[in-house]
Amino acid sequence: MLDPKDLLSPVQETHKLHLWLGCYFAFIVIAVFASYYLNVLPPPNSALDSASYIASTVNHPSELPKNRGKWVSLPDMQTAKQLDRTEGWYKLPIADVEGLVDNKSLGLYVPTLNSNIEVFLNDRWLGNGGRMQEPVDRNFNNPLIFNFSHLDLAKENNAFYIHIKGLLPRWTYLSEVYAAPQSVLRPVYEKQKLLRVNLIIFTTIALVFTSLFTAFLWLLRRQRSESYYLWYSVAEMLWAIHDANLFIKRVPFPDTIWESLVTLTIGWSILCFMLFIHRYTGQFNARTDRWILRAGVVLSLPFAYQELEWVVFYGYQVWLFFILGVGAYGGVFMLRHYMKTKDKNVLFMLLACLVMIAFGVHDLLATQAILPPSSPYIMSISALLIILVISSLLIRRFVASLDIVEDYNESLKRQVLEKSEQLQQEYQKGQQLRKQQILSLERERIMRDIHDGIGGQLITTLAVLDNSDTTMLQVKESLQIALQDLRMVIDSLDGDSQEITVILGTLRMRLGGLLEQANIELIWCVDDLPMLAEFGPEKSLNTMRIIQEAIANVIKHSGATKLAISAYPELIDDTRAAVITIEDNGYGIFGPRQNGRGMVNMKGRAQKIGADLSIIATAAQGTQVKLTFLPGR
Amino acid sequence: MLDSSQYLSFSFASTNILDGLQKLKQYAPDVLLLDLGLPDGSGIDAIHYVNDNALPTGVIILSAFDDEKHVVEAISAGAVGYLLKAETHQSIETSILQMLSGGSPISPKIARDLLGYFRQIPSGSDPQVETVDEGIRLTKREKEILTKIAKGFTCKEISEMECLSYHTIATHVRNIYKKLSVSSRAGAVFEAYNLRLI
Repeated sequence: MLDPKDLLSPVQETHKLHLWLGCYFAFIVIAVFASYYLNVLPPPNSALDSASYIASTVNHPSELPKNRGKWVSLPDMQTAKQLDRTEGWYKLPIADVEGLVDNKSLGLYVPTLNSNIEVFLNDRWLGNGGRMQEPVDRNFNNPLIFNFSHLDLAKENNAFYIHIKGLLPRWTYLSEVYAAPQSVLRPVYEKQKLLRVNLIIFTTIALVFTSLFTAFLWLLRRQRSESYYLWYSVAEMLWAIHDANLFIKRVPFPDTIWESLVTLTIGWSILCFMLFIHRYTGQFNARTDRWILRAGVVLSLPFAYQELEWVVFYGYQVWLFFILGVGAYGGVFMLRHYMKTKDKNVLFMLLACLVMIAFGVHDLLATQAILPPSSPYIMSISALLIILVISSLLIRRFVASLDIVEDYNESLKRQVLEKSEQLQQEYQKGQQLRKQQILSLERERIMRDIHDGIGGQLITTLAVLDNSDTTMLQVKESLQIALQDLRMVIDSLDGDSQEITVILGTLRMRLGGLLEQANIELIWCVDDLPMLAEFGPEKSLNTMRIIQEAIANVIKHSGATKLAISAYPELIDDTRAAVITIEDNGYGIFGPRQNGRGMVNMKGRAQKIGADLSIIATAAQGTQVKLTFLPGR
Repeated sequence: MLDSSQYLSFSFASTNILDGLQKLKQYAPDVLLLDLGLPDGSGIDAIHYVNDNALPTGVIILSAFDDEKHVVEAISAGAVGYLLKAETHQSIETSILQMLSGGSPISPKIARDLLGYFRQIPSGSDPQVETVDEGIRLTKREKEILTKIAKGFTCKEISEMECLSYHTIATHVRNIYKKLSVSSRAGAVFEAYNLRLI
């Protein structure tokens, strides 16, 4: 039997630890391998590594002032920042024309940018990375490639002009630029795009999808104790919005709002994840939980000051550190919870988070040039692992709780069935007992009837035989009385004898001969009588005995010549009563030999069966015995 | 008892069915007084034997006073009537003669049983039953007669009340027994039909 208490405790799923660890390992290997495999650069000799920076806001290279520029080497991360400019021009002279002119299809490849650029070859416009007017499109994570033909090249003094526009000076940098045949650049560009755009879009879609799915699970359950489905769903959705920053070129909001949103969403995503972990484990300090939430709200308020510099400064210098703190707390919380409960679910989540941290550290080392600067950024891929792990854990838990509910229902059904069977058995036992009781009562009654009636009569017969004057006729009469009584007992036991008219009819058959012998004319007036409830053998027998006694009295003592037996319904107090009368035309009760004992017997029997008995005797006119049955008595 | 009768004579007596059936074939008496509860089987078998062999014997059931229901069964099998064992010699002789001349004995209880029995026969409108032979139902008059008998009225009294001759009442009773015999056979057919035996 299932204890309902078991259902309230957190669901304990079973896991194959090695299988899970194997999955983690496989994920790490695949992620690292794929990102390094996709992260290739064109051959170094195709790089254009020096340029002159011209701080100008013109729209065409022909309008640029001649010979006025600052020589820089590419990638150039500093110039715009130093000059505090968000717009400018780079002039990239092409030194080695010979290497290019053999190819018809050529390209210019810019792998990394934060802002937008517009590219010219000499005076010829090659293309741009999107809208150059305010608000300028962003190419935060987009590699760019521009096509041109060898026919576009002059014999000498060729140069690329790159018009750059950004949101902030420090983001208005230009990375490496490569000029090479398309056949060389295309594959490199495609791989980069796959790694940095397509994969991120895929991850984001996965986030949105699992978020909606988890929200759906939450809608199905909607129980207070299972709000973690909702928190996880929200965390994922926020992360998805944050990820969109990596591939959306044209932001639907003003830049400042978008920047606030990007930092806020990643922060709240971590916060919601924390709330999720708290509720998922079910064992957390409610005060800590509230404090994290409150701190999140309070620390989000400064974003209300919508100034781009401030938002970026606050977002990356304060807010992100708070979030890192929350993340660290989450790691410690999960670790401690696992140590305490050995709940593998939490361990798996912790491991997924550790993988993410490891990937994050990798990216940090890459940006700090401890790892080669050309290393790919892999942290965003780790989101896939977290999605996989947590979603599968949640689905498992959901399915497990459904199973438990099903089991519980099953066991409830079984219990109900068992109980009802038990009840039925007990009922049947009770019925049987009652039946036995009734039977035993009935047996007792029949024994008593036989003892009192036939037994008594047979004893009388014996006594008659002891008398030396006894004639055979007297013995025969005595025996006939005994036999009559036996017949009545048997008649009373007949199921059909519960109708008074049938009792009377049977009685007439039994006693008619006696009346004939006594030369008494029988007048029979039996009408339909109302049916009496529970008119069982006992009442039948007593009724028969009363009538028999009355008839016997008439034969023995009344000296009557006529006897009328009537049965008819009579209205008494608005109820239909059944009445039987036995009337004779004899001496009346004051006749020569009246048997007092017989009267007493009759009255006793009538009382026993709840009938009224009245005996009215009129001297020289006869006697009327009236038996009245009221229904329900 | 039969020695003193001027109408009846004794031909044989038997205490079991096997012996009784042999003697029955041998003597082919006019009247067979038959007890239903015999040591080697039911007296009903003897009734069937008489019917199957088309013997000229009228079977009268000798009944104890408590088995009138079996009597109904026996009559529907083909017996002409019944006698109560405890009746006087005189009345037994009279009853035998009466029954042989076509009278049919009946008691209030048997009348009640018969009314109940015929009430059970499915009506023609019952979709379960294809056809019901109207010949096995009681007529209104027959019902009235049975109801009166059940209330203890004698056939004589009934004939006076209904302004019919005593013989008409006796004929009605005999017809009722015939219907019982027919309908009990038809009943077996209904039952077999319901059980999909045919």
